[in-house]
Parts: sequence; C-alpha cells; structure tokens
Amino acid sequence: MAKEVSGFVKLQVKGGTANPAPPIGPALGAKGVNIMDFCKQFNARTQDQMGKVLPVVITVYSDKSFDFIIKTPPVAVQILEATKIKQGSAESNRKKVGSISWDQVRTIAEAKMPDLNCFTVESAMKMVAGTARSMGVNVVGDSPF
Amino acid sequence: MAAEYLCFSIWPLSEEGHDFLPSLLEELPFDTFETNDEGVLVAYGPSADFSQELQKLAEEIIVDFASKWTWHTRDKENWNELWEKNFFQPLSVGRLHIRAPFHEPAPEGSLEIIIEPRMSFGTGHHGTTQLLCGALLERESMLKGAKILDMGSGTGILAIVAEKLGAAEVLGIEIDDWVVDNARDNVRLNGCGRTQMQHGTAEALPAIEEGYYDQVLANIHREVLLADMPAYQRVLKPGGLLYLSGLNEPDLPLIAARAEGLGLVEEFRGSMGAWWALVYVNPSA
Repeated sequence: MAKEVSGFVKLQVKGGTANPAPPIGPALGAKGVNIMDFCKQFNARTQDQMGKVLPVVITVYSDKSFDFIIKTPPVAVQILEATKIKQGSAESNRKKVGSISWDQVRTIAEAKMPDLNCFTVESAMKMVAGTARSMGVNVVGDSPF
Repeated sequence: MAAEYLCFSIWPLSEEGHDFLPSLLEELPFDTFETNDEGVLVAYGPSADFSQELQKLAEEIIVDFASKWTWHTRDKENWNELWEKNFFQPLSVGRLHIRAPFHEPAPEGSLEIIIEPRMSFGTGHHGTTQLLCGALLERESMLKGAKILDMGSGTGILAIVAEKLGAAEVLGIEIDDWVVDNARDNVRLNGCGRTQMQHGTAEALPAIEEGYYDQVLANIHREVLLADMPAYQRVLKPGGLLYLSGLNEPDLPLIAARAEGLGLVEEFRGSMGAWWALVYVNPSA
C-alpha cells in the first residue's frame, strides 16, 4: 500500500551545501523529519553540482519518512549559463542584456523536458524562449516556429 | 546579539518568477530559497553578510517582478527537536546500544552510547554511521590503546564508540561550531576522558605530526574525501587503518582510484541500503 503523504516542501538549495539553517531546518523539522538525514542524502546526490542552485521537492509521509526529487536548474539559470551573462535585465522590454540562439533554446528545452508539463520539445522551446525574453535576452536566428 | 538569518519574503510571483529570482538573488549572500504554502518566495542568508546597501540592492532586483516584500530575521534554534524527541528510538549495532538521555538505560551486557543529537549528524540511525560502528566493533582488538582521528565527527558518536572500545586518545574534528558544542556535551555524557573535540576541517591536519594516528575515520561525502585523503594518509602511521563512509555506489570507483594512487590497500567494503563504507590499510614503509 502506498504511504500516506503528509506534505510537500519546495526549496532551491545550492548543490552539496544543504545544512539545517533556514529554510531547510524549520521547514522539515516542523514536519517531524530528521533534517540531518535529508542534508546527508541531498549533499551526496548533488556533489557533482556543488554550489549550483537546484530546485528540490521533498515529499514527507505520515510516518515521518521522506523522499525527494532534484529537478534540473531553473530555465532562467540555464539561460544565464548559456549566454554567459551575470544576470537578467530589470527592464527586459527596453534593455536587452544578451542573446541566445534557437539551438541553445532547444538544448535547454530538452534538458528541462523531464520537469515540464509540456507534451513536445517544441512547446518546451516556446516556454524557454518566453523566459529568455522576460529576462531581456534576445532569441536570435531563424525561428523554427 | 544580531539574529543569525535574514529572510526576504517576496510576492506575488508568477511561476517563472519563482524559478528566475533565485538565480538573480544568489549573486547576493542568499544561499537557500523556499516557496511556502502561500506561494511566497523566501530567500535566506546569514545576517552578518548583509549590509543595508545589499538589502537595497535586493529590493532593486525584485521590484520588476513583485510588488510586495518584507524582511525579517530568525535566530538559530534546534529545528530537529520534534524528530529527536519523538522519533529517535534506541537502537543496537552489535553489542552497542545507542540511546538518547531520556531513554531507558541500556540492557545489561551491552555497551551503552548516549547521544543527544541537537541538530547534529550521528544518531546511529543512518547507514553511514552504522557501517562504521560495525567496522570498529570488528576491529576492536586493534583499538586497544590506539590513537584515533575522527573527521566530520558530528555528534561525536564514532569518537565515543572508539574510546569505549579502548582507544587511548581520540580527536574529533568538525566543521560546524554548534555541532562541536553538541559533541563535547556528548563526550561528557558518556564519561569519555580521552576524547577531544575541535572545530575545523582537514586544514587543521598539517599541524599534526606525520604518522601520529593508528586509525582515521571520515564519514563525510565523496568530494571532501577525495580532496582530503592525502591529508588523512599523512597523519596515519604505516600499517594504520583509514575508514571512509558517506558514499553511494557510483562514488566507489572514484574513491578506489584515488586510494590506489596513494598506495592504500582495500581491506573491507560493505553497504547498508544505498550507503557504502570502505576500510583501507596504509602500507608499511
């Protein structure tokens, strides 16, 4: 029989660096989870991505056990990495801070597919391109759409 | 004393905003982010690292994404207390009986280890700890009168087990200061007079005489172990034992290759659930 879920905790944590400081400590501790077990497992599983902000969704069960899914870095973070810019534009409509090719958009979309509620790579690409524009990053080259 | 953590709550935000803002805010000293049940994004960082200018900069970063934000602070407390008080059950590893101070005393004939964890790693429940407790028990005859170093000592559980199995001198080194305080209390609770706890990392090892220790224990994780294995080996006497834990199966070939490069000889490997531990012998000169 499946275990009864008592709640979810959604965090973004730097790979390999989880510790019981807030929000990990208070969020998991309040649900009766052994925080130290989570930190040990998270750090062991993410040591290849040390220091990279990773979204993690923790499922807590009624018996205080837990499991968690580490998602790929947010689309915005992957766009920043692909374009080698430090941060997006605060005025994305007026001020463009970089550009990204449709090939790069496809690469990010494919990497992100497991986490997205999209049926096709094309729809994921549209989502990635939309995020890029909202950050002040131009999508350049021939549009596949 | 100033509060230890600064919390920056931001709302309302689109889904992209939740994804995107952490990547901008991590340029500041924020290290972890939470999307709470109300859909508010909260960024956390150490208060000591923030000036008023940095807080203003954070507000400038988010102002185009969200219309509302607040700042508050949080002090450190033992957030793990609920688990420690309600779900930490005594357990046995071989003849070791590991319990919290509020549990009944150990049954006769067992070796009692008392651990009050206070948000530190090492209650004995984790496979990584149990594997090394078992490995120490199996090598009990080699612990009598031995000098032991325990890296990443957590609650101090392995150091305490080593002394109770006969070690003459034990040093635990731990990176988190509040954990060191907790370990010192546990050492006292167990009446261990030959065990010292020190705040630090492998950077403290060059100050130790070469070949000083008979055995070195390290229950940390792959990246730290790979980086620090040469430093462990330097303080290990020829013929001494190096215990490594905190490893998953994919880590084993990397550790094995590193050990081979250092001339360490594998003596034991064992697993519990997804976790693995290894014991190496330092070759005699």
